[in-house]
Amino acid sequence: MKSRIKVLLFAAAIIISTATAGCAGSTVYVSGGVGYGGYYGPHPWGGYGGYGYPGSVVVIGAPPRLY
Amino acid sequence: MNNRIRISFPVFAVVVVGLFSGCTSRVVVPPLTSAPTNVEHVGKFVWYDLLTDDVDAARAFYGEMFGWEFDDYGKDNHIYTIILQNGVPIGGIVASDQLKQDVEQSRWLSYLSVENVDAAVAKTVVAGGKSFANGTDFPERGRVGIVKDPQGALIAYVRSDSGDPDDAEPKPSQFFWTELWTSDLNAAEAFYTDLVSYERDAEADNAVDGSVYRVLKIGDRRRAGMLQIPFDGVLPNWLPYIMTPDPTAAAKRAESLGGRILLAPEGTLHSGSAIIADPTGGVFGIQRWPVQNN
Repeated sequence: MKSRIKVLLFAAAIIISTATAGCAGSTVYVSGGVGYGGYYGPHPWGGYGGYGYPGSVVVIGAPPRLY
Repeated sequence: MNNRIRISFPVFAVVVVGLFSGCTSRVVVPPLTSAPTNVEHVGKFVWYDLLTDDVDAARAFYGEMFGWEFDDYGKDNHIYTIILQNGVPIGGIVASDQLKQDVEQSRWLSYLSVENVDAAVAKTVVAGGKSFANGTDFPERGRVGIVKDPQGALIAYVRSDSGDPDDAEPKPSQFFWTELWTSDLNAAEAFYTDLVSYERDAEADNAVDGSVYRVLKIGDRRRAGMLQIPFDGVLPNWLPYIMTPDPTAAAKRAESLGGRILLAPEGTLHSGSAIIADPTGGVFGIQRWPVQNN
């Protein structure tokens, strides 16, 4: 009987360690889990109209040196 | 001994089958870096995800535009597509039909490296922002949180398990800059300065025709740009930039591939940049870099 308990405990230990290292930790990234749910709203670029004004420029983008 | 095997094997088999049957629909995202760097660059944008309602169209467009390649993780309806540029993972694509709610239009989501995701999310909420995903662990990837900042710009915070990508001079077709278009420049600067200890780089401040552009740095590393939204109809957002040798030619190519030019190179300083919407609605910037002043 003691042997049976030992064997079962051993099997349980393997199972728990497998679960911890693998699938049980595999959080659903994009579906059904945390995902990005709820952030939506108006698209930040609206109706995708052309922006900018003739004859003028906007300053955007990276500076000449990064590092 | 034989008894032990007979007793344990059925138990083990049942549980293993159970484990795998519970995993088949789950997606594990890969690390941020192909090889661990084990170095954090807090305040650096380290990853970019495109959320789109048409993954195939997005892949076709970006593949033609930038020579990107793609690698799918997961199976069935739970696919996370890794973007590879010369074999290096630089971002991902998520199908919006896999999300909890529908996305009306596609968009890029930029990931900022932070020291503590939970603290960053909490600080954002206290400052008037909104949390959409509190700090959550993703095996191999790290801890991620998704928020809108106090002015409403969507951003992700990440603490990578493998470290952040090394600083290196940007190469064509790679993301290399991220800037905030905001409705309140001073408030946004104060918020992010507090969040990741940015400093304003006075040397890089630029003002042309009344257009103010602020560069934020940590140490001698310039990490992000910010500007007050200059156009009606644009809402706060973080805009990622992809390095392009010839923005004018790239913009034309984007149009020929079904993209739309939102801001043409002629409307930017030295015709060095452009803002483009991909055919699915994801908006990004392109820029010639190093900057040419003619």
